[in-house]
Amino acid sequence: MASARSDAKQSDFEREAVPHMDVLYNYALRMTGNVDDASDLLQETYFKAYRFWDKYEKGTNIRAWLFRIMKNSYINRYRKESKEPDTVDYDEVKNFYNTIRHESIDPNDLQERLFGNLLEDDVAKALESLPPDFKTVVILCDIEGFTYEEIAEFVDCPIGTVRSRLHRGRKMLQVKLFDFAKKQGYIGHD
Amino acid sequence: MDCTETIEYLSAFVDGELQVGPRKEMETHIARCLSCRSEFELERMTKGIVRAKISTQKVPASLQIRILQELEKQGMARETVGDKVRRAFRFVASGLRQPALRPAVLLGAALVLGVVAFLLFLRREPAAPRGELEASDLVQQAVFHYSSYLNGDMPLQYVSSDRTELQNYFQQKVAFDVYMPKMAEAQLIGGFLCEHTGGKFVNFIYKADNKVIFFSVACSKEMKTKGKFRLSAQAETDLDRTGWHFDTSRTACNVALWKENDEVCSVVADMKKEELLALLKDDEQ
Repeated sequence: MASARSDAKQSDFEREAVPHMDVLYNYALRMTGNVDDASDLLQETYFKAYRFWDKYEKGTNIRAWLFRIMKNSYINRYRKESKEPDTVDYDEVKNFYNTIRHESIDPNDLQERLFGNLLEDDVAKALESLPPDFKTVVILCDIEGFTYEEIAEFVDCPIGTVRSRLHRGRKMLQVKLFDFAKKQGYIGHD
Repeated sequence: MDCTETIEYLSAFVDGELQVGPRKEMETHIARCLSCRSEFELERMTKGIVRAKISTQKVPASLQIRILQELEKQGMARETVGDKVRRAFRFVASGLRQPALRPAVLLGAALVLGVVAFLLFLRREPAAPRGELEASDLVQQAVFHYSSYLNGDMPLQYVSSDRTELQNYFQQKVAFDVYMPKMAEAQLIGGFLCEHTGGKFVNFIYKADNKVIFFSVACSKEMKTKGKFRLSAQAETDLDRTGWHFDTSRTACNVALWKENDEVCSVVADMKKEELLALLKDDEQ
């Protein structure tokens, strides 16, 4: 009897919050770029969620709620400044793309020529280097496959913001990926 | 649609988030405008690369267990010490304001305080939360450690799913051979060592179909020389005759016992005897 209330809370929490651990772990992994930090972040998120469980409104989107806790924890932990790349860098990608574009009609072939040799690690690193707001929407859209509406609820901003962040986030990512590919000699220097 | 608008809605176009009308307009513009077409192809490509190269992972089982165990502990500690005591005091105070109820309330409060103090006393010693083990019977001791683990009173000392790593870790801590069953159908979570009246037990936690399987190994010589733990007469007879002893007298779990050279092994799980046996039989090949 003494712990009936905490038992109920515990089982409620386990039933509702625990099934979303995988999605949150993946987000943590892509945001931090390593397993240890991702584990810490996941742990912190679940502890906080449990502590504030009575603040969660039953019937609302639990995943969005957990997600916001994780995002805030992430921001508090890793307040590092990541700079947006200059537009000059971006022009370089586009110019290069336009030159090889003349040589080939099939876009799949172009993708292969530009980025085909990149490894998962390269792509993960490039993604990790983006500023948090941009990285977040790219992860949620391109890795987790959420709709704009869901993402807007997760990050607590209008759909238009999600859209523009995605566009800019992907452009930054292009520059990073292009740099990787160039440095490692996957693509030519001129 | 012009270039500025196209770029503004480009990501929505790539992600299939545009309504039919704007989508058609966008298609027409992109077909005509080389610059926007490049932008579009690059954005689509970038999305494609992220999707193709980055895989999704599952939360490691050990991490999940660690989080759940910690939550359980946090929940209990806070509920007992915080809210409950405060609520009890409010209740007592309101009773004391009514003279007719005073004696009854005081007596009740004294009783409650006694119980709370007793519970807190039990909580103080996480290694033996239910007091010392009364019986020296090995089966009872295995069941005791199994339920202590489930209650969160016995945290894992080493969390890993790697059998060799776990075995090496605990081998350094005891003088007997740390035997571990493979149980191919179950996943290893981690282990903990405990000591009871002179005998050491190495315990491992496995999981299969979300059920906890507790495995414990102890040295039978150590048991005999230190004289504290024993097998029941029935268990001794069963082991001699068939090599196995089962205890299916409990509702919450069943126990299987057997010997490996000088070590006595026991397995406890909320599973039927046949299921337990099937898990363990894997090892015999």
